[in-house]
Amino acid sequence: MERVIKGLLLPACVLLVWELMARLGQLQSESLSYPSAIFAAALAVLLDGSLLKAAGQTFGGALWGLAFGAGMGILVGVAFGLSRTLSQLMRATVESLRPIPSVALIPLALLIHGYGFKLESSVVAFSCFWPLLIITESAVRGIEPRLLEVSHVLGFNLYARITKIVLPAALPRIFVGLRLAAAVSLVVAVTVEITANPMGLGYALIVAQESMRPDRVFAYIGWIGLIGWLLNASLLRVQLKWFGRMGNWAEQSS
Amino acid sequence: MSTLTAPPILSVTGLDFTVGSLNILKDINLSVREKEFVCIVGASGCGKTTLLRLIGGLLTPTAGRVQFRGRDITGPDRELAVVFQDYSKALLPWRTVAGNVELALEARRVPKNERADIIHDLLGRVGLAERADAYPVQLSGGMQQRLQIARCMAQAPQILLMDEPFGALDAMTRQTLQDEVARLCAEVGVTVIFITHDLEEAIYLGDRVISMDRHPGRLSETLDIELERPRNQLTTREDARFLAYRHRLFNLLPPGH
Repeated sequence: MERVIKGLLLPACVLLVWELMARLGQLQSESLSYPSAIFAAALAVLLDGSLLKAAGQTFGGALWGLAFGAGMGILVGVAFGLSRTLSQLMRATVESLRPIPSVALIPLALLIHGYGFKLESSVVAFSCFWPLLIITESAVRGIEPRLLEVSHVLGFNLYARITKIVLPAALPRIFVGLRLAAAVSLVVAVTVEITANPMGLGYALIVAQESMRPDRVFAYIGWIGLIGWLLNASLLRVQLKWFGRMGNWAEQSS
Repeated sequence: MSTLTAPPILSVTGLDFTVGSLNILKDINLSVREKEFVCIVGASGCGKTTLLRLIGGLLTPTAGRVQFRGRDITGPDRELAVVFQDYSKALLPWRTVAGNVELALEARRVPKNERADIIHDLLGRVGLAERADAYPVQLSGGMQQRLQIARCMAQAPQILLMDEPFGALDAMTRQTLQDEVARLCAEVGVTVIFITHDLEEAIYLGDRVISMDRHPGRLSETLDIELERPRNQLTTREDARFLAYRHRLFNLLPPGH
């Protein structure tokens, strides 16, 4: 508790000085607001439901993109991990597509899907596909060869081998990849909203900026940070709960 | 000995194994009878693990063949279970003790409602019934190896291939496990090929001990062990015949090899 208080000391002082300077008229700026106004704005968007609606849209786009992109990444990663030939055949293609910044695909996605949900989730999916592909491939390649021999001796077919041995063995590392991709998905979703898509938290930020409401801009930035933190914290909890008591198989990977 | 007329359960003929220009195994011939306990003993690096992997279908021979009941072994086979030396790597860390045994039952497509009884019975035989819900990391080395043996038994194999299964265990645990494995294999009536570098372990467990030479690896001498069963860690090891076998093998495999 004492450590928490110590940690909060500096931010509290900054907020206080900021508030005082604004109140005393030392702060003359169109772009900066002050703490009490920001808190009021944050509360206002929460109470009038606009925050919930925007967050729902952003989350929807981010999660669908994450689920689709990560799912495909895991599937392809397992295939590449199991077959060195396939991985080598696809290497040039993968390495030439992967460096494309996902944001650069927004105009293309806009041409294909038009404005809306699909635009956002397709760009998010692209950005989540690569990290999962790479981490899954290396996780599968790193599986203890003895385990694969056991599955061979037991005569499992490819499907059983993947579901009973390969995926569970690679899961702790895949989950680390999922946590990274979840953070990326939120960033990309908000970016798409800021640059093109008229929905979600990113668009709410743009609207606040264009209507000269720095308090709202700050409020939305705060909410986006909080949501991102919550997302990561809950995934971390799931990870500890699932892989916590199975020993170094999970520890080695995280 | 007396059952020489019965067809062998396993026969290895003219087996060669070469990697690049390195001749690892040369002209291995071996015939194993039903329910026989054969120990192959040799210094480290003589290729005994390679031989076991070839028999188990985990490697493909350069020349020669391995036959199980007259049928060629071309790949891993559920009739031939392999007990690996590195037990901790062969167990599924995300499955409990019972779950690890169940894996072999899933492979055999045993119906779900019959599995619990088989698992309980097998874990009872290896003394792990009370640890059914533990995870492998929570077990000692000896218990982990017992679990691997139980899983191999759940596979219902005709032949058990054991690759220095007690090599990494302490002397006390090793002796207990020797007795357990001897009893278990006799009860189940499984044929065993047991690899070890420990002469006394080979004599204590085997119906027959085969010594192996190296560079290239080949089978040299066969010793039929005529000691009564069940054997006893004290009296059997003090038996004059036991000592004579030991003397004989010791001269075949000088230490410091």
